Amino acid sequence: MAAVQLVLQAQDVHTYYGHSHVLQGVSLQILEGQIVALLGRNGVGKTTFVRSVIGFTPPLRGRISLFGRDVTRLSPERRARLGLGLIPQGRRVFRSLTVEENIEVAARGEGGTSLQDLMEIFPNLNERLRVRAGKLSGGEQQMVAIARGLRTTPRLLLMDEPSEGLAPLLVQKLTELIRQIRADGVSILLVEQNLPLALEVADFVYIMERGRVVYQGLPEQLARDLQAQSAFLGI
Amino acid sequence: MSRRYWIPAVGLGLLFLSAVPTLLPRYAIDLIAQGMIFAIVGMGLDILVGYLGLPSLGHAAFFGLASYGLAIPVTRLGWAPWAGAGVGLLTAAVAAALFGLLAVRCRGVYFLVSTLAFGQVLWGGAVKWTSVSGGYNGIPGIPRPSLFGWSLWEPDAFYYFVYAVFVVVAAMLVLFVLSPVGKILTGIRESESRMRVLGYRNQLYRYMAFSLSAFVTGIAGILMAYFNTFVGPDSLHWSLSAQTLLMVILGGAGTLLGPAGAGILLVVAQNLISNVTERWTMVLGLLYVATMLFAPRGVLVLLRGLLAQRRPSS
Repeated sequence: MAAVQLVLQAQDVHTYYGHSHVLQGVSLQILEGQIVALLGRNGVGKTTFVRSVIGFTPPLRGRISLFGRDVTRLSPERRARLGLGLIPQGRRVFRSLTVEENIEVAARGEGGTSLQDLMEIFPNLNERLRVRAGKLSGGEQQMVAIARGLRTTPRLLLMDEPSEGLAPLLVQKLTELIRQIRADGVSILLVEQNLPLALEVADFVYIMERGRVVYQGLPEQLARDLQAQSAFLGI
Repeated sequence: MSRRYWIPAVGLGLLFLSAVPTLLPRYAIDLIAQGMIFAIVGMGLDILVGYLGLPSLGHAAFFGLASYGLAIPVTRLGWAPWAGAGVGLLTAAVAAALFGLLAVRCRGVYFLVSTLAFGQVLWGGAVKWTSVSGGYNGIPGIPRPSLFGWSLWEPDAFYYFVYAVFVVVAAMLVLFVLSPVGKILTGIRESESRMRVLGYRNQLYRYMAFSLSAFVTGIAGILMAYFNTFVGPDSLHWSLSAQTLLMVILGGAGTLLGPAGAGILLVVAQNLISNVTERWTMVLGLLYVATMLFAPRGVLVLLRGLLAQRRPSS
């Protein structure tokens, strides 16, 4: 294999919810160290794609490989152990655990990004370590969810709409954070509706529409392609 | 509840319990010993109900199995009482290990029904298989052992024996729920999928917690068999499971100390109220309804809320 490794390779993925054919042949790949953005309107299948990669809704047809290994039939927990991390949509924290417990439960007894290092990234969480996560503000909960995702030391991190509902100032912070995560050697699949954020950080962009990839290219390309933006993103 | 309140409260409670034999009459001492035995069941069950969100309606199975496992070799084969205790605990543990394989695959009401069925099958067995279990007559004449030269036939010695087991079990379980494993169980209760994404094999943890919970309940079964020097099919019956489940809910699921306190208080209340009326279960039912109305997360959680309100901050 070439020097640059494929961390994620999805080939012709077809995923169903019951009889409804949600993903209709999605192919997407991420190279090591890349930030790849997956854009698209609500309900086009972005989250379903994330669930297929994680293993919650395995594809009926097609193939998903992580780090060069076919994982199409592996359970989510096995995939996680290979180095796949998820920051789920909508600030999913463990509400009755404290901030510290939320983060430490992700360590699974192994090494990983230490709590100390994470507190340097999220200084405002530092003083709230013993507070129950359910009592935090939305923005803080999102930070906890991201910190938890990083505590597992993923090689590939799936971020499902991390900017959703965040104040502009926090979105700016998130942008820096995503860059920082990548600088630490983590590849990222960024699922977003926020086009400026995606264009700012991504190395490559995919757009989905009705369960298919309808556009792929470099972010600079998409930034200029106003026709594609209005057709697929309604901007 | 902040440490400021609960450390002194627990300390006072333990101090009171340790002084019971010098303060109260014989009848009350026995009652509280019995209460502590139920408190052990309550704490064991709380691991499942409170920390994993799995309501068991069959925990009497492990309670009764431990009692029968003790009684049969001791009374029929003349084994020593301590050896019998080992057999009893082993019986409960093996039953939990086998039944747990099936039970941890179920959730919610399915878990409730499968544990109920499991318990009732054993109860049916104890009633019908008279040659082994003595049927409705049960097995009388279970001897109490000696410990460090003290005979547990001595009532105060027996009380302190139960007290010591209660304190040790409570301490172990508190350490358990505060440990990382305890947090993992809470995580699984809140979101199985999120824990899977973190790489956890939830089923394994659920199985472990189920076995631990059953084992702790078995310890209480051994104590109860020594206490009564008798075991009968009632100790396997679902109504006992239901009472212990109510105990956990009334005390406050997921607090350990709540169910422990409720265990002691309900045994005492049952005896006091039974002096006045025969309708104890009706009183228990009313208590349950009142709890659901005014303290749906249990009495301890209600108290915690009231204390928090009285403090100006937070």
